[in-house]
Amino acid sequence: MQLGLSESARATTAEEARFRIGYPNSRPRKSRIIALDSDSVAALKSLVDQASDGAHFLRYIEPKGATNSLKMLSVDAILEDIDGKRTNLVDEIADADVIVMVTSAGASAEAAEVIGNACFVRSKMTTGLVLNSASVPSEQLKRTLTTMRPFAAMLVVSTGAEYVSEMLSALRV
Amino acid sequence: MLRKEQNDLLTQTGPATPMGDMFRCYWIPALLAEELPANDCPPVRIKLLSERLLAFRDSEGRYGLIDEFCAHRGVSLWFGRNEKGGLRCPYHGWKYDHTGQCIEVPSEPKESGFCNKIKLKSYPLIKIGDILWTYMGPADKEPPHPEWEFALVPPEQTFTSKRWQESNWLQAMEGGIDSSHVSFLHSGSLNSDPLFKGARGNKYNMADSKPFFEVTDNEGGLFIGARRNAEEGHYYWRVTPWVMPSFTMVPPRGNHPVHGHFWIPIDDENCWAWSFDYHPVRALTPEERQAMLDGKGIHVTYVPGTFRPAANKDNDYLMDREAQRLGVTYSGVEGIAMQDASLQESMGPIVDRTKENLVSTDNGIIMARHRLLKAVRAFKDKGITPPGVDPAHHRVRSAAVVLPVDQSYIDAAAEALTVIEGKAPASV
Ligand code: FES
Ligand SMILES: [Fe+2]
Repeated sequence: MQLGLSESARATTAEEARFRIGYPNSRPRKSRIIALDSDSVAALKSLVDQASDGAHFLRYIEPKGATNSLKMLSVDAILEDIDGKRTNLVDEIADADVIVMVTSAGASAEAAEVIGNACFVRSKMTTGLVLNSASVPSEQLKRTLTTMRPFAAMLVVSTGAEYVSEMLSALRV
Repeated sequence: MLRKEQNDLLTQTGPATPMGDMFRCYWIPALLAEELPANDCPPVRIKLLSERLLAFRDSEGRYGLIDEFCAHRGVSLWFGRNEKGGLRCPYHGWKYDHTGQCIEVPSEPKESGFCNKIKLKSYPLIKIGDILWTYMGPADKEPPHPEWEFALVPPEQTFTSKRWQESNWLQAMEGGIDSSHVSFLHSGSLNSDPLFKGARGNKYNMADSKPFFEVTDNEGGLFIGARRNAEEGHYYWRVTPWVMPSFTMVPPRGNHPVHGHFWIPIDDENCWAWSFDYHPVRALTPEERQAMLDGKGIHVTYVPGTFRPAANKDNDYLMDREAQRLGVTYSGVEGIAMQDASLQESMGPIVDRTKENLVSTDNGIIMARHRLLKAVRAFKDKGITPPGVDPAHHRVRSAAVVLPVDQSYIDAAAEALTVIEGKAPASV
């Protein structure tokens, strides 16, 4: 150790960096990745094997208990996991740390609205990932974004599906 | 989180590394033009991409960027005599021109032509705006000259500074696209810094400290939009462009000059943080220019005679706990640039990204890394020119706009995010 240096100077050397011990600093996350349309179901299918145990891959089926007569947004939905087993959105998100909605630009936005709203009323923040492609008119992308915007703390518009796995691994999902 | 091999790939930029080779596809800022102020002025030592170089300006005003060391016995040519169209090594008098070509070896007969055989590695060095730019890649792949707006506007509209940062380039650059830190680390500066205060947009910033984000990829890089609530039915958007590999621009405030950065590797544990400030349609006022010289905004004051910030790791960044406690500065460090640099340097020379825990709002950073990894692999495996080389990718602007809630910034502010000569920046 060199003497005569300030504490900051000493602490920021490569030698000192060795003393950062690799203790775990996070417990495993629970995440729910929900595909909103068939294109994104396909994108997710290829990821199931790489993901950790805490990750559930699901697809949106339909809103649940929609109170159409009251013109209120549904706050629950029926989902289906990769093996075709049906579950409730509410149960899935109850203890989730990360909720990611994946959809493709131009896909129907109803699902985003229902899920986003259901999460919102439970103070769960969602991340929206929109798979864009050059062939989708910008009007359609805009519609998808406008629906998801109020409910997603982070909206990502990505050209190409490979970003899904990149993002999930960066988030330790 | 990044895996170790991904982290190594992105942070290692020396010769013959994939990322180093990719950096060598671009024109990068090498020196401030003022570092070589006159013909035959003293040469300047400069390290870029882990390579020791020497910059000089010869008797005819030609700029040279050459290997620092004399081909004879390895003396640093920083000691050289810059005279009569070349740089002469003071040891045995070998002389080099601005291309590194040896033009005189006094001990050998002139007729022998011996000196023709001696040539130092050299790179082009050109002046655009206040900067001397270099391209360090293969000569046959030299791209068109850069077209960043801040470097092309008339000199009275622009100001550039650089500072030495004692960390890897990537952790410095990631600070430039880490929009979610601004509400914390720089919260003290919004209403006090002369280059920030007074903008209408600031009130939206203060009223809503939990912005939502929208990241959109484009050909040259990314746009990172942060939105806050504005008046009923409207959002206040601040949009930061990132152009590969390391150009970022801060969204404007009011009619203040607009600023941004380049982060250029010196070696793997140091980088140059370049900071520019310009106004697309008006001259900077004398007060603004003075504030920049005084280290306000994104600029710094220096240890005299160097590009090392006056607040640096050797004096614990002049940490002021009282200012921290009172909230004058959020971290206790004064000035936006050093608030960033102190924290980024504290991570260690190359941060270990296997240990981090990113969250959803870090998607700007996640996406930037993804784009870099993708580009570096495509470049290495298939020789594909990376995004950001094409000058068309340089013609971006940052923007601050208020939009109706159903508008996407990417459409509604498309013009605002593009350089249109003579058009004022979109700002509130
Ligand atoms: S809170 Fe972000 S690095 Fe500590
Ligand atoms: Fe910052």
